[in-house]
Amino acid sequence: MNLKGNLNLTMKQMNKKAEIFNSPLIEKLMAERDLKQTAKVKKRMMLAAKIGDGIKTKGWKKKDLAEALNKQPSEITKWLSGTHNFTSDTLWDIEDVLDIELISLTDKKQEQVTNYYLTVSQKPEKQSSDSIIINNLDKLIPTFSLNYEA
Amino acid sequence: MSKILLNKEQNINFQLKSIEILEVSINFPEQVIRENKTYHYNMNIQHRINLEQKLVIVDTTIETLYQDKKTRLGHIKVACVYFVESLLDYISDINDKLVNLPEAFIISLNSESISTTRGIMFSQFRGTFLHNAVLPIIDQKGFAVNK
Repeated sequence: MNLKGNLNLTMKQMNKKAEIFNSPLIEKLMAERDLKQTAKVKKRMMLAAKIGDGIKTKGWKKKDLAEALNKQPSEITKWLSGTHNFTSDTLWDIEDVLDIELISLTDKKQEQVTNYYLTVSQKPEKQSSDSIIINNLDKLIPTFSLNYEA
Repeated sequence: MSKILLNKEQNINFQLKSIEILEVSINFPEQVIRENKTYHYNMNIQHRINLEQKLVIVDTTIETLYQDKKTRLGHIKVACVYFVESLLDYISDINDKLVNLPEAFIISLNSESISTTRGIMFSQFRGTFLHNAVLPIIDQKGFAVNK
């Protein structure tokens, strides 16, 4: 009964609708945050996620990457936490073993695209009954004759 | 290599490098189209520029419509790849990612591409109910541009 009772309680808690929680402390902290630092953390997280994806795509585990780079598995865990400040050499090594691109040195220019639109209509060739059949080839001769007078 | 003479001092050398049929489709409508007198065509020409390789890729899409201008009977998409020797000379002074090609040259590219597509379209639709749907001669001035 106790177990059932606890379960019901848990379900009730889960069904509870989300409520907007206002905290002056959180609002103060959010206002004080450094936007540059936030952007930097976001980029670090994205980099870590990209490395994580690279490991998965390769079918590896963290241990495999550690072995390939001659590092301790704990170091890889730190890299994937998104808090590590990588050196460019480390990133290039990771690129090399995971076969992914983490730093782009070439300026990828966007392709210029121009579109032209037009709608046209066409009447198909006349039906065979309307066709003009020339049996007498002499009628065509003046067209090519030097003596033809317009 | 073809040469387009724009004026006495300026001409552009270009070469048709390749032609690719990208898409072809034929859709026979439910109603009989024996009495179809007029075909309508929606055309879309897309220019893509690759500065690194000095290429202008012209994608020509032609949609053939029934006389009600709604029923789609077929469509074809062909890419013509042109190598333009002096493409880099036409990079915009304001934006180095933008290429401003002379209008006469654009008309020439469009014309070449439409003619090529017309031929391919005929060969693809030959012997089908779209056998007579031959793309008419196009007046280039009628094109609406959307950059």
